Amino acid sequence: MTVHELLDRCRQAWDHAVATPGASITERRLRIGGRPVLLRAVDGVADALRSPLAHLEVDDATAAPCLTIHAWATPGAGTVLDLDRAGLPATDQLRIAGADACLMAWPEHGLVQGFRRGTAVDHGDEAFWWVPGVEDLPLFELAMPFRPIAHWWGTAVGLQMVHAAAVGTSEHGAVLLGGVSGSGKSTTALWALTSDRLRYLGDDYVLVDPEVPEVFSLYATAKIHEPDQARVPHVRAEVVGRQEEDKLVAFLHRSHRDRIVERLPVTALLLPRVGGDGPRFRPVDAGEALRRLAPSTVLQFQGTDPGPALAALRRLVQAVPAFDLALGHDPSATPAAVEDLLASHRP
Amino acid sequence: MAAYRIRSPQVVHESVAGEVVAIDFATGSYFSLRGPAESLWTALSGEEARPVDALAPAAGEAADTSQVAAFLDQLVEVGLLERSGEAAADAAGETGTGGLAFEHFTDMEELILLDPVHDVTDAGWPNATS
Repeated sequence: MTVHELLDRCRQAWDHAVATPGASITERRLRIGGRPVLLRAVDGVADALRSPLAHLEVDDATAAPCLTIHAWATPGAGTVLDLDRAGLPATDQLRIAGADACLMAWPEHGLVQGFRRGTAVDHGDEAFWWVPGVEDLPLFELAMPFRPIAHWWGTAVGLQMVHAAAVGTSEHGAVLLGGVSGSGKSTTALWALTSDRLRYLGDDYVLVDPEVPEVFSLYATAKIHEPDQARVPHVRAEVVGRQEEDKLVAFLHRSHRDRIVERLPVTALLLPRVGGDGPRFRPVDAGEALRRLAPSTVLQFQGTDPGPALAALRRLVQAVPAFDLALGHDPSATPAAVEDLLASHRP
Repeated sequence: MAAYRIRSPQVVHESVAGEVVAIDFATGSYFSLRGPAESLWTALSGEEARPVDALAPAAGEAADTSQVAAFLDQLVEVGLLERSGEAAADAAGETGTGGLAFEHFTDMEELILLDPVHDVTDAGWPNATS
């Protein structure tokens, strides 16, 4: 089957789910990447996935959605889509792509996510998110739902998903905090929640328009390793779903809603590293910035042509100044330092 | 004579501020090439394999032709380039690579290993690549 045939099967499964006697459909309107997105979900799916995206909900029902996500939980994805026949370990992921369409499957979880660009007749792009049930969702979907969909759709509309944290102020814009896991970007972003002025856009993935440049919040959650909880005592993380290793999830929309913003212009790129005598900033050139920012984004790329993603990141590092950030030993000192840097570099 | 080309589409790359950042999707390794190595890489761009004689001038005074060949063979060894023809007789042994060098980073390799993604072949779903 081609990717479009698979997506047609998803569509048929959705139509069947909504036509099932007793099925209830919840619609939530979101603004993602500054654009209207409609989530249509059957039964308890919308509530199961609400918290990470709740800060992006809007009341405006007049704007036609740029993207409609159909989400439902019924058994059968594995059978309908022949997930068992690929002959691969169930823990591996499968991907199939075509012109303006992509679908991925996680056989271990029975999870399928698909996306295709709208036709002139359909008016909007559409996506599918299908699991057997919401009782046993994997942690990555409970904390960051629809991430592949957001990536594929973002790419189609000129937004790049970046593996980065982001914090900023309305007066001076935002910093993107890029780098490998463990570099301190998440801790730095979470400590921004203690600042009276800094606002939070994300700790792990954000959407970026590299042409402006502008950063858009995607998830109001943070994943914290249990040993690191003591480093961010103002953020209470919890076990979510089936506990995976030592990862906890903090739902920031519940506790810090007034500290989360939807979008800000990008003023600078920070490349944090743990240790050193800091917080201290050292300017780096665009080459070092790209080398430290790009690999973790591009290697987690879930489309099939990463070249444009790397090119988008190259344009980003050419557009804004970049700094190595030696974090020092006291994370509570970092927010003020970031505020000062933003104030001194906002054009 | 050996000819070399960038191993596309497995390797993606961009050049900015005099530095090439190249990422190998098969292994999760990424690389930095600067100075004359960056110039040499830029000379490699394109679909066609290029012989050493045609590439060597890009290295300028940093390396002679044999040193360029030795350096290119190093890039083949780490998976960035494909070679047609025989390798240089003495890859970076006695010849050395002159002023040509690259950095090789492996801290992202676990991303490939921990979450393998298999792309479906032209045979269509559910036939996956090996």
